[in-house]
Amino acid sequence: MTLSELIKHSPADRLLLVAGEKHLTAQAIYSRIEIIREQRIPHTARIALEVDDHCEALIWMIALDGLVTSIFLVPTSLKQSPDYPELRHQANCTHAISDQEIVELSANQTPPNREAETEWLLATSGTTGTPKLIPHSRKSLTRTCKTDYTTGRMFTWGLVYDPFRFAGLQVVLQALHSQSTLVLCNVDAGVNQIIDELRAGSVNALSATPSFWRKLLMSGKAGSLNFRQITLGGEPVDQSILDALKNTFSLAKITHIYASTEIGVGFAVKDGKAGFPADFLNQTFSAGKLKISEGGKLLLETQNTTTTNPTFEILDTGDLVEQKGNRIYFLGRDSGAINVGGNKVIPEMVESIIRQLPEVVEVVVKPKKNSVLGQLVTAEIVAAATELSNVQLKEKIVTHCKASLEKHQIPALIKFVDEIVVNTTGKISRI
Amino acid sequence: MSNRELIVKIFHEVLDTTDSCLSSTLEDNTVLLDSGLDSLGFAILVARLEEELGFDPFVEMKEAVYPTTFADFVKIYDERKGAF
Repeated sequence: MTLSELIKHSPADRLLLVAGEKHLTAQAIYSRIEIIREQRIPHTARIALEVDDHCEALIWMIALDGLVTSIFLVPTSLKQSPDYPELRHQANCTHAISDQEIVELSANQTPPNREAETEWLLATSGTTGTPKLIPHSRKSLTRTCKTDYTTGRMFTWGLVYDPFRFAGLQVVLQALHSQSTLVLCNVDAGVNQIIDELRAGSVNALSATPSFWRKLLMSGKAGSLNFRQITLGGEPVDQSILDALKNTFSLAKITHIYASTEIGVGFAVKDGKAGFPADFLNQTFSAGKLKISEGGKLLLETQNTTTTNPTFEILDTGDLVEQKGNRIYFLGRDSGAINVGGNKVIPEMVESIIRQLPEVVEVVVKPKKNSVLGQLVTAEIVAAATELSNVQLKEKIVTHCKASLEKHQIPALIKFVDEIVVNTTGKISRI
Repeated sequence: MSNRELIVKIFHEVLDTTDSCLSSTLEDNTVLLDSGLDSLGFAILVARLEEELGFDPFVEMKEAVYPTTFADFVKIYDERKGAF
């Protein structure tokens, strides 16, 4: 079913989209889709969807699905990036749709395939390099979406990310498929304003990065929210954040998902524990089979069924893992490792150790250039209200690190800060 | 506080945080490699001094100088400070 068919099949008065003052029912959205379709955009079109207003952008996306050859979903932050013109060129776009107009770009030379369904192009966030275009289909993006309307209608999902980033799009598609209401928050606002928007919209389901959840818990306003579903993803999830969320939102189901723009949704963990069961290595998920390389990297074996002879491909997820007993834990990104005189340090692993201390509400571990060893490990800390002085807390952190880390992994410099910056995808920025 | 005093203070701090011990008293003629601090300790010492003084003289050097004794090390900081 295309997205517009999904809307058509939803009860007409079902509230599906809320954005500020706008409240759009299925019927209201469908009327907008019909107006868009009257514009006679050719089936051969390859669209760059550059609409800034998230609510409008989603209506366009729904209308274009199944109508055109491909849609490049352009997140706001990407449009402003110097990498964007090259990506749009690679996507071979014939039209660009913005808030104001539809612009015809140079004619497409490649013959379109009228039979195939619309191709969806998503850009990686480029946290570790130049953003890349990843082709998806509606089918590949929605294969893990639940379609139970009875349960779905009880959920009001909040969206705190750009809907055209992979994590945001997953929330949008899940809400549309189960007829849940979706509340679009102002993603550029601070956490306090977002909390007000979540409360005003009676949001009871939210998917966000561990960094966002920590900020939400630090706000002191978390008690005003009632969640039934809490989803975490995009960064390694440690036990401290899972426990803190369980204590604060005792009625919520807590799920952490492993997904990325490149591989799609990998798997979900629902037992309230960090990492995932080692049994997962023997199972086949919709994205493929999980394996661990000799160097400790998580690999995904996917089957390419588009050709007559199915082939297997091994994808390197770039995530480092380690097995402890029957559990596999995420250590961090391989590409983000700090090199201390030839010894690799994974910042996320050091962060998870430091975060175990109750006096630490947030921490980011970064490399610092050093004339003796190339790089050193440094930590920026947001401290909780505590009787300890900064010097005493520093000592406590170092002592705590010594118990579980190697010498070169312990932050050589520790700085206290008021806030830790996250990037447009809600992840901690280590640059 | 003179450079020397600051360096001695931080030297001991770093010994402490890296669980290292001075092999004997820290004197001008103490050979750095035998002092008890390993290369990680030195890296931290230089980084901590940069935090305090705002510069890393080893980065700024046109030609690399490798200090042998503790006095050599202090001299590098003194000379950098004197250059301004």
